[in-house]
Amino acid sequence: MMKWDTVYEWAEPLPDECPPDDAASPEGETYYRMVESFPPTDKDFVSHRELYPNKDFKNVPECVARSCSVFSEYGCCAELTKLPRHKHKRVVSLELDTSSGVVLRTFRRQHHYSWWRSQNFDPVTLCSLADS
Amino acid sequence: MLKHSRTLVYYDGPEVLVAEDPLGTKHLCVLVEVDETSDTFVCVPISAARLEEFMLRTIDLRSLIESPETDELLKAVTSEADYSQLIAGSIEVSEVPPEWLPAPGFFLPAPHPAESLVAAEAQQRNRAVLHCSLNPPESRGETKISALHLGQALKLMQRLVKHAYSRSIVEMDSELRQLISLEPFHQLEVFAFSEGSFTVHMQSAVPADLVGYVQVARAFELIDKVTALVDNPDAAVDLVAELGGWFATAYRDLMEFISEVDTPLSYEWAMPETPTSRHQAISTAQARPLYEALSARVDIGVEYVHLVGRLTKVDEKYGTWRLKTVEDGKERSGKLDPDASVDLSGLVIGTELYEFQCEERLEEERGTGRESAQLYLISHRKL
Repeated sequence: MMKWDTVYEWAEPLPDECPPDDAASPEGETYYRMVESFPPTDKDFVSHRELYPNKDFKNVPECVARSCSVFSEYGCCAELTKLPRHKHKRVVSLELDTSSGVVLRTFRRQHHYSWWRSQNFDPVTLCSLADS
Repeated sequence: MLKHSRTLVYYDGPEVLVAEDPLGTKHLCVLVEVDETSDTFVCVPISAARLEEFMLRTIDLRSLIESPETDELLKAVTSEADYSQLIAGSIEVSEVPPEWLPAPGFFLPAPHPAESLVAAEAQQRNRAVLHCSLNPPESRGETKISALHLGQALKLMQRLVKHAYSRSIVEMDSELRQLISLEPFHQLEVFAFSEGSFTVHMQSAVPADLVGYVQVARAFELIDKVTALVDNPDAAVDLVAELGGWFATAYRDLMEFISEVDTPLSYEWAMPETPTSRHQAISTAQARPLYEALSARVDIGVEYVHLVGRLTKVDEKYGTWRLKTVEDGKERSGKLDPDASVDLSGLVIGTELYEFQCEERLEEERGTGRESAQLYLISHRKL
């Protein structure tokens, strides 16, 4: 049974039952993410599992560990550039449509979404710098 | 040693979190370094009042670290991203490298206005919250409720949640299932009553995890799935029959209570990170036919257990046995089903591998009312 109207091939291998059923295909909304520099590289859009393949994420579900964080509000994303690990980063915007994968709202206070990216969606070429 | 209590800011992983030490003292922790093997945080012990100021956005994160209440800071390191064990050591404020400090003016995002009291409580408590409302006949003209009815309702509700939770995880990978069976995720705690009514406010005993999810929500979702069908008893019964076992028995018993006591029951629940609460109601008129239909089905409510392992004990005289399962290495014990045409003669301890088919029956302890599962062997074969 197809969960979504689009059949996806995922950018990273995902465990069974991942993404969760209540994740949805975006329809052109704009999301924000931090990148090391602009223009970004592929490494700016990979999950923690991809970055640390041998790490044992004991308290984070593997499905979540294989997603990327994006925000629906610029301010929420930009605020994170004040945190120690992100002070040098830039904020980019991305229009995510159905081809980009699926997203799930988590941490609603932060306007935060977990994004499971489709293999065919190239965020590096499709993003724009959001901060001046 | 600190243990993760609540994630406040998340970006590909927890960035700002609240952790507690063994004495229950809260610490606000900021992620400063990540590598292949560990995550490093700077943590500041924080009083409830000061944490509230941070949650209400009246103080920024840098101020909390530069001016700790007790002149004490900690450097805490996870082992392999295990947030239940942050190994902490003291560090002077002057020893904190500048790059480890947040920039001035970092505040938590403004909270969403909660859409309901349930959602507000879930957010505030960082737990799943369930409001359960009763309206038995004795409560309809006066603010009172039979202690027996209130006690029964809470017991039946907790029992239903327990078995719904067990049912909801049955198809998970066995290793994951064992992991999440270690904590009492199904347990509820009463923390308040709505004034002038018999709406009981309950919270999950276990708070939300690192990513804001509360495991007991699985149980609530399953109960919702059945309760949504109360106007269609046939469909409801089919679903309960499909789910079967102790969940079916618990659901039937709750319907019996609602119809016999004549108390409509409604409930509403929310998780800390869900935008809305969910609400269901069952009237006496809906519960009665459902109870009768469920009672007529003798096949549901029977829980079968299939075990594969080697025997560690057999007592033919008393009809008892003990078997160590291959799946998890645990010992399970039981008795012969007196109605089954099976005995324990010829069974070999230690070396032979057997497959045991058992019926699991829940028996209530007198006095405590605690349920315990008893296995009754109905058939076996050597593998």
